[in-house]
Amino acid sequence: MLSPVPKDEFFNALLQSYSTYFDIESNVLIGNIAYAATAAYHSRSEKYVLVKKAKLWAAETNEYVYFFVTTVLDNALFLSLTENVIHATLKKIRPHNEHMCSHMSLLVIADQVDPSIYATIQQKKYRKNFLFSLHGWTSLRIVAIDVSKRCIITNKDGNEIKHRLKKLLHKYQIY
Amino acid sequence: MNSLAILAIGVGILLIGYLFYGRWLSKEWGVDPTRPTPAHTMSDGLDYCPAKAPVLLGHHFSSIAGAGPINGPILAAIFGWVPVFLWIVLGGIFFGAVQDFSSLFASIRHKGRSIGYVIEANMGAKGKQLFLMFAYLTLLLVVAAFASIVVGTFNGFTAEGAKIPANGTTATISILFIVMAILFGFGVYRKGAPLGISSVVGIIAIVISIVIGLKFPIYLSSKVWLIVVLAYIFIASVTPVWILLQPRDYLSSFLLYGMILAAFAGVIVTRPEVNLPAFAGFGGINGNSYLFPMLFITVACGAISGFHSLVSSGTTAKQIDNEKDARIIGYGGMLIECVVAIIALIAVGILFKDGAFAKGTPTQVFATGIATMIQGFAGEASYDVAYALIILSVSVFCLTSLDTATRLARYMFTEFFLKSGEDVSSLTGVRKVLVNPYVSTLITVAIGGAMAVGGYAKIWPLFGSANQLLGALALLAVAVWLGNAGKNNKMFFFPMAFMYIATISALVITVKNNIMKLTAGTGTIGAEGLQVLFSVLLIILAINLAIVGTKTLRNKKTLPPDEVEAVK
Repeated sequence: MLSPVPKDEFFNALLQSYSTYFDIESNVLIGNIAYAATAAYHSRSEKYVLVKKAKLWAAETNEYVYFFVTTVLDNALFLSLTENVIHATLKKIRPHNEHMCSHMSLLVIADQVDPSIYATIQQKKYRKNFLFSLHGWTSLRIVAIDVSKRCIITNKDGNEIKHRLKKLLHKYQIY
Repeated sequence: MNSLAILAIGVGILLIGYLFYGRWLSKEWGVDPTRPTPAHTMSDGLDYCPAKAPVLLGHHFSSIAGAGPINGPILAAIFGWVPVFLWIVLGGIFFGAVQDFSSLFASIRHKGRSIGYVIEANMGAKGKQLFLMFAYLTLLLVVAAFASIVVGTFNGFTAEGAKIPANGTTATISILFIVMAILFGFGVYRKGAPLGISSVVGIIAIVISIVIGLKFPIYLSSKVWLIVVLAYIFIASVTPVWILLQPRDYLSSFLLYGMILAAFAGVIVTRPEVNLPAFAGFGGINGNSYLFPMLFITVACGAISGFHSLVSSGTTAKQIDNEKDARIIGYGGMLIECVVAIIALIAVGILFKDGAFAKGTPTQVFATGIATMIQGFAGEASYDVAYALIILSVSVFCLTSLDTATRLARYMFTEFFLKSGEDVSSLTGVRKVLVNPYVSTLITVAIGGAMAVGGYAKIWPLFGSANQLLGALALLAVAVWLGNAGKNNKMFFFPMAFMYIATISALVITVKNNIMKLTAGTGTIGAEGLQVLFSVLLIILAINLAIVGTKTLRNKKTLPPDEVEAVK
């Protein structure tokens, strides 16, 4: 029998891990949804010669993470969260010829994830190209943590985060 | 002489040079293992990030290695293998590796900043301007020389109109490689495919593309290929880096290491005889060249290359973990390139028969030599695969160099039309059109393409001269810096003076030969005329540079506080 772990502890552990590289903002209201926190990461790679102005190329990548803590994640809540995240992130992205990608990541920590929406989460897909991807692209990553069952459910793009979270939450026996 | 003996002697001397001369240089310059490097003091997790010496050596080597150490020795083989061998080994130890090591060290001591900064801080704005102009002219020559080399390996027909199957195969494989690189990038970046599995799939796809290339060669004339290659350069230079550049460079690094390992294995296992004469006279095998200065210009990247100083003072300096690593990465990296040059010399040497060189471009000669050796221990069937892989490797390096050179030239072209403090967005009229990325790229590619019509053999001495002058300037910059600090900089004097004299002599010969062709009516303004123009410009720049350098070396200046800190 696994000992109960409060979801706030998960959340704090998650936020702590993100705080190293991300700009964190707590208690953020976007539209009519209150997120426990949001995090943003911006990276710019350049290759230049002699002086910084002599730039051969540059590539920008961004990630916008939305943390949502709830007791139950059901279908209606899931749909409104994904729509909200997509809408909010698209407003933040500024595509240009050095923009490579901007990921939008929705991390939901729930006491319970309705088992009937597992498939919906796993199949949810959102990708958008800007100018045929010459100005980059964006994709939606979804990670839902079911605290009661100690399992992580993701969509295909969210799989990348899952591996990272598994290592981070190993001590809580989350798989 | 046996090829294994040549390789063993070469590696042995280079190793001695590394152990003794390299160590002595470290002591003289005050390389301090206890001193924190910019990767630690300025760590930002992006540009400035400490990397383990072997990893950084790998990155550094793949940045400096290219088609240069292969083409040079093969073209210079007309003088016999001994002069070329001696120049590679001695030039590498006392010229090239000193330049790479010192520019890396100077950059570390200047917070990882470029050699351009070192020049400006120690020689003033004029020195920096000269350096930038050299770099610009060299870039145009890189476009011309490397485009010409690639076209030579794709050209489907002989002068008599007969098909060349090997070239047709190479063309097919190279095109498939580019398509594969785009798909690879799409899979890894867009679809999140695991890098390890994708790499294995990529390597398998390269092998499949060879099979397809052998079955379905593409036959097009050199004129058509030149247009295709120039169009490719244009597109590759203006498209985002993640679409083609990054995945292509990642995949090509496997080709680079594969090629070097295959070449090593070929020499060690088959040990073929080098039939090339040891010395073919000061006029070369045909008696119509000049050992001095042409040998020292033709073998550029295999002995000393100015472009290495840009690499050394660019990314590598920001990632070096400990100052002591600068020797293995800067000095050692260059000596490894010398080994590649020796292998190229062996390749051309073993194919020399009945007083004649093997036909084809240097790339084809190199591929034939290595594939012949591999065939010796891996069976006849391996020849075509090895040949195709080696040609593919070299043409991919050329394409990488072309793309980088065009992007950099575009930046410099834009700079010409900007006054101090001016921004691109503030320009109007013709200047606004000229600095447009597409327009400036088109102009650069067009000038390079016009020069490429004359063929690589005519452009190579010019490219070598510009590259060597860059090298001489990099040596001068570090010599001035160390001199200002009261440290021993005498080890730079002879290499600098020698490279100046050799390059100016080579340029004068190039001017003379091209003017003779133009007056005789056998040359064209587009090819020979442009070469005369470039040569004269380089001579003027070189003389200016010598004046600035001599003045700076004579008049030691008071260093600003951060420079004093840098040399402590």
